[in-house]
Amino acid sequence: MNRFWIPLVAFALLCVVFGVALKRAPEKQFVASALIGKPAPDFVLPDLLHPGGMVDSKRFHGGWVLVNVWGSWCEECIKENPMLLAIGKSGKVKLLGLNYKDDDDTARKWLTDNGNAFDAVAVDHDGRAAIDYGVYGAPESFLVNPQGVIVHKVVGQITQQAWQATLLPLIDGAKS
Amino acid sequence: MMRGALLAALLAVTSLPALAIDTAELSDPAQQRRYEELIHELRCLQCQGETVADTPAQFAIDIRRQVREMIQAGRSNGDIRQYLVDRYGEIILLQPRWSLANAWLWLTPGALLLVGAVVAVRILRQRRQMLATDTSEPGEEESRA
Amino acid sequence: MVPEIGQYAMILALLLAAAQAFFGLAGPWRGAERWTQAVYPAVAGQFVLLALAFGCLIWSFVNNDFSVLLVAKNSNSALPIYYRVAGTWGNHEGSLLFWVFVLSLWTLAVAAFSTSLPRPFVARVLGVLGVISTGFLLFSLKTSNPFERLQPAPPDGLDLNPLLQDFGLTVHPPMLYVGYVGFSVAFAFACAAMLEGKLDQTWARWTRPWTTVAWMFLTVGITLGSYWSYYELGWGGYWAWDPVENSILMPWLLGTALIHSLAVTDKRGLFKSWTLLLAIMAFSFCLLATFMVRSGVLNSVHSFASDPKRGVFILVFLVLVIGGSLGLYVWRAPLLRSSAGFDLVSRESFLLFNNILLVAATGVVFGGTMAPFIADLAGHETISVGAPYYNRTFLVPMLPLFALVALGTFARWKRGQLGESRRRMLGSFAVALVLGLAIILGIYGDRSLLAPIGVVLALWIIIAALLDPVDRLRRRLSLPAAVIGMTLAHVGVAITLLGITTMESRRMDRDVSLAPGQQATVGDYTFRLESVQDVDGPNYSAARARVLVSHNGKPDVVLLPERREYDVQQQSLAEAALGVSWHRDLLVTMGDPLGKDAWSMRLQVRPLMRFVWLGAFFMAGGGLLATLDRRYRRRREAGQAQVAAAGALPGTAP
Repeated sequence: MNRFWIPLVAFALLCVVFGVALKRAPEKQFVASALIGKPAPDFVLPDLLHPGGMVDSKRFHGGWVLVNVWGSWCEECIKENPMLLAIGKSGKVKLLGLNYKDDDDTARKWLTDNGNAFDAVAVDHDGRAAIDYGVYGAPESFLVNPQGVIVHKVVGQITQQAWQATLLPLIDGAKS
Repeated sequence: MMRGALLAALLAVTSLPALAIDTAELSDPAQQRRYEELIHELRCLQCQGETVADTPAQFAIDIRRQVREMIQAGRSNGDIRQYLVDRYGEIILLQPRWSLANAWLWLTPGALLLVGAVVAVRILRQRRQMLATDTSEPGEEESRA
Repeated sequence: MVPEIGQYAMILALLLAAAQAFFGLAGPWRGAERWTQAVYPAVAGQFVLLALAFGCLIWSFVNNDFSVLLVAKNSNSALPIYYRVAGTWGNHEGSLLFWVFVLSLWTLAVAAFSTSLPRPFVARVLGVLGVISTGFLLFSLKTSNPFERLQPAPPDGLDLNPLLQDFGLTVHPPMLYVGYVGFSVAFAFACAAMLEGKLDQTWARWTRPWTTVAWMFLTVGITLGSYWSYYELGWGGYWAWDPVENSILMPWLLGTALIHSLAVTDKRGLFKSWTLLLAIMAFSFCLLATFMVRSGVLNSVHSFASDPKRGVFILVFLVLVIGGSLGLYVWRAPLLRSSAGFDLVSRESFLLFNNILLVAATGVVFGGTMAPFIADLAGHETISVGAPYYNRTFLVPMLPLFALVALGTFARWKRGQLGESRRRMLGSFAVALVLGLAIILGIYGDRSLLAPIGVVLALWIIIAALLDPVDRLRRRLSLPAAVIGMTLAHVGVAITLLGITTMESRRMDRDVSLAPGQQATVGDYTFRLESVQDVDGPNYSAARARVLVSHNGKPDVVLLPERREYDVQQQSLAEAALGVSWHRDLLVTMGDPLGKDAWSMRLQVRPLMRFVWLGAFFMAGGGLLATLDRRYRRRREAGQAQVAAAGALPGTAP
């Protein structure tokens, strides 16, 4: 084994790294949430649906909550809405909307036009609450358990697949 | 497919009236300098690999504001970094922090130069010796290049 | 009809590429001269077919044939025609076809210009190039077919990404591709030498011009990319240390090392196995770049959206090509020994240091780029490695390198003999130091460390580089193109260094809110917003601001930044306005309307910004000049060699 072997061996190692990276590429698309396993930050923010009132996230403690970050400007949110409506109907979770960087009137109109899946919608104009949740875009959703701990985060719209394969089992699993 | 989703999400977000440039500057020059240093170290997660300082994305604007406010509130640079790491993970720092896992990254330049120096010394010694028995001539003056 | 022709042309090209590979490698190996000869028609045929295929693709774009999926995804009938042409390479599939086409061009050039080289050797070179071409054509046809159809054809396309609708798209990718595909030639030369089992100084002499030309195009390509992102993104960023950018910087660094190492091998027969390894590594990193951009492992503004299936294909190809060549290296390199010696202070030792530092720099960039993957592999949290890291660590090997550029010009081959050169060396340093400090204290007046070091180093490099040519002119000695080229390139390095260090330490940015009639000051400059108007472009509508910039009270330039809304993709883009002069750049970018006619704007003043790219173009120009010299000498010597060699090889007329 002389020094001329070094490049070939180094290259082989590199290929292993790349091979693994390739295999894991699909899951690594999104920034993993740093908050999984940590308590969901609480917030008290203006109520979109009842102007003048406030939405207190603590009211949702004790049951499963899906905190969904959305905006009327967000194309994918429109696509996600039917899924949210279905999730709401299932009764498995409460839906707490966080209206992110939006205009109140436009947002209300959006809900009227597209259907309101939410049990409550809090308004986060400047994105402070969103930063607390480590949000970097919309739509993003956080599954919070009855103890108030974030157990999963979905970046991008929640697909049927994601609901069936990931979120639902988490909810049902804990119940049994 | 998931990638398409992310791309769409990015486009969706960036098509906000989101090219706003924030126009607030800190009055204290020392604070302004800290602010500028910090925002050049933070990654814009809506973009790809750009700093929060150099992009008009909405996320970047929010983070810049957060940094600004925390500086004004008297928090230290370390505090601010930790605050953001707690929420976004280490990925938001464009400069890996000193830790056992990351140490190798910071030691790389020095290590490479060290290896290079060792190699250089070996070769130089060897070739210097060969100079005694080497009768070849490098060629005329004009073939400098 | 036309897409079908293109498709068939690609398939036929694949067959010819395989033939080229087979005949090129098997012919010399078996000593079968007819096989060896067969390479040439394969090369020519492949070029014609790929030109045809690429032409068909361009035709489909220009004629808005939306039944071709690629055209439907990347073009639009409202898209100006030159963007329809350039759009062919603004996507994964099209740029891949372009890659292969460029390779066939290089291959043709090698075949055409190597008539004075031994046939079997050239055949091997072409054979290796054929292997690469086969791989890429297979990849394209199997996973990334540009001629894939979309039935039923939509009435119109999705338009080209507005960020790409710029002159930069017309020039940056082509230059880049010509450059980094060009390193395949040095690679092929290396493989041919290893297959043949011998490597002498003539090998280095043959390889040099090809490598220098490829390096030159790569330099231009990277520079254009940097310039494009600078004014297109409007935030003044010209190098983001993005993984894709890094992946193209690494071959460039290695290519620079290769050029210098080849010089040593050419001149003194030294560093043979090292030069061989460098040639392999330079191209390997080019292939690595291809992998990174197209496999989906990276999330980057530059990378094409793709699926891991492509990544697997490229990885296998990488293993075969790079693994194969490194295997050849293990086999053949130990046989290459030279008995030449050199002194501690000599051109050889300085070039040795040059190589070590450039490889170290490559290592730093590589480490940073791979770190997120490795962290992942080790089960740690994903980390980011960005500009702050690289800006600090990249300097560690580069600063000594810059000093070497100055020092190196004083060293002679083989024996130090500094002697009177020592006086010149110290003298030039003293001048640079004094001049530099004068500039720093007088003009710059700031207290950062970066600027003084950069300025003094840059001045020293320039003075040192100019001493020899000036001396020759004075003594009425000949001044070969190679020496002028080298001088120009090194001066270019200094200019870029000067530009970067000055600009980074003296730039000024301000984010302000301006309504028509209002103004803001940045340093000595005053920016006054005069008006904002609505204008329309071919596929966008925009708000255009008129900004008057004054310097020390005197009107300087009028800038017209725009905020564009593109119709089809509904993307909003800010078109920055640039006020350019040799000593500073002024940048104005429009943000959002803030109500009451006010707009948020970013104002930037960047001293010596132009130098950053000017220096790079000097480097490329230097490379060009050096090549011109080489070729002349090569033909002359080759002619002499023919005369000297008693039995001339068949087919090699002087």
